[in-house]
Amino acid sequence: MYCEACGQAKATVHITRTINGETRRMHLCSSCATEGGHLSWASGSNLPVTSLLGGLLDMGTGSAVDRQATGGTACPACGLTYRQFAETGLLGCSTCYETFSAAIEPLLKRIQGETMHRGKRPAGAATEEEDVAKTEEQLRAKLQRAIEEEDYERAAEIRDALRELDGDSNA
Amino acid sequence: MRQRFATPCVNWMVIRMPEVPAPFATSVSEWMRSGGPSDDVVVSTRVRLARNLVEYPFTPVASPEAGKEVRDAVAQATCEIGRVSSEGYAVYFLDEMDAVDQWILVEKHLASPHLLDQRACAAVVLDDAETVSIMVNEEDHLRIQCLFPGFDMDAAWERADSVDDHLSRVLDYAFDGRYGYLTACPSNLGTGLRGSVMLHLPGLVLSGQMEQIMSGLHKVGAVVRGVYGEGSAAEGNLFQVSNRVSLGVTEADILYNLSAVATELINRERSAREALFNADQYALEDRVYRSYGILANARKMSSEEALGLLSMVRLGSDLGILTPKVRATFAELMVRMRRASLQRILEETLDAEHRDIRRASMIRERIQQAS
Ligand SMILES: [Zn+2]
Ligand SMILES: [Zn+2]
Repeated sequence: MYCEACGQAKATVHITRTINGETRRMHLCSSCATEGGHLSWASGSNLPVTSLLGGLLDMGTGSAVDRQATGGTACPACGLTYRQFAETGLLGCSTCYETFSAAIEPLLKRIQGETMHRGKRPAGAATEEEDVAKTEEQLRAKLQRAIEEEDYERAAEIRDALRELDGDSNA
Repeated sequence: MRQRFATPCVNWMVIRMPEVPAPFATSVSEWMRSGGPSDDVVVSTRVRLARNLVEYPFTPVASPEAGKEVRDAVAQATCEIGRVSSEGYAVYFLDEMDAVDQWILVEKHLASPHLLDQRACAAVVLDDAETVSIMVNEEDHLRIQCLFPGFDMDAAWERADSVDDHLSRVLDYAFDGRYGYLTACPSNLGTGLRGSVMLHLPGLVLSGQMEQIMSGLHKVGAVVRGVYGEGSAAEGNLFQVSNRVSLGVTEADILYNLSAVATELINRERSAREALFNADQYALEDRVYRSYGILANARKMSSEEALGLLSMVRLGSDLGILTPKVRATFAELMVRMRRASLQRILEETLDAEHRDIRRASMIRERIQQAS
């Protein structure tokens, strides 16, 4: 079996992830897996997803992403372009998460399975309930915009995200 | 040639020490000591938190000036912790250290090879016991790592959590209500947490179960890989298991799940060892004693060969074939026999052949002392 990232070498690292019953296996060669020290024990161990992000970004993403890609969207804060993000899988600054949100959301669904943080917050940050409420409000605004622009694929994605948020906060 | 390196901060005082050996170059990190929980199977447990400062671009795109400002801010913040908690921290700027000392940090698992590539703006913050190591300007501005001997997730988490709390009072973290702690790579988003357990699994490897276990573990959200070398034939039979997901799950749940996976591996390893022993006691004893014989007598030894033999000797010690003192030397030898550490201990630059000769004599001495 050959490495999914480079297609050149034999795959020796295998990673499988199952979320909501959907399984995805990644097969990588050791050099792709360790690229940038990502799999090194000493690095606090990133997973070798970075080299795969480009591929994942291209997989079945919505029209909003295509627009970002072809329109050459750049982050207003750090100047990172969508193309650079797709190539390296790395973001340039905090604002990038907002700039490229349409591409990041489906990516997070794939690599993380979830899109809403649960867990520790720095002192002085808003509570989880406040943030859930704020996120819901922002998503509703985005939904409205997507419907107005007749981007129904994106609208459906946002509706799913809203439903999930609702389910989580009731749980 | 040893160059000067900096210890800008011990507690909150800035000290520069020219022409002095880096204290970590010859010290024994806490995780290298034996006696931790379940240390018949587990070498060490680590918890890592990825954090970034909100007002700077992430390290991979930051200018050298921005990188240096981040480094100074973290150094300053660490001094603050020293002041409020009376814990001693030292900050090492990589561009002020010589290459051998930089590599020793990697060999001791206190820094990543990737950090060395970033040396112009990179720093490492260490506490006295070397249980805390904060990498500055690796892929993220901060990688807070806590490393404990044996299987001790609670200790590693509590320490990382507390260092993070202290730093968050001084530093303005990039945090988003929805996405959590913002990281350069979306695979670390949310909690920024990666827990890892380093396990010694000779029983599972010798009985041919490792391949199957590695693929099975993926189903439970864990990732396994060799510590030295990939695949199921990792050198020294050392594997690490880590959590896969960092977003949408609390820290407690992530570490609980990871601990459950590690516990399962520990139990399977113990049964595999017992089965091997019962199936053919003499074959196993023979293998252990042959490994011991080579370590105690060889005159030239590569680190690959040494790691394999040390693994067998450690197994023998765990099974009561050899004295427990032999096991106690394992983690230390694993680090000491590496290139940069060996060079620093011996205070000379060595070519490959002389390194193998010196490595063999150092191991011989330690192994004979322990028995
Ligand atoms: Zn590859
Ligand atoms: Zn940006």
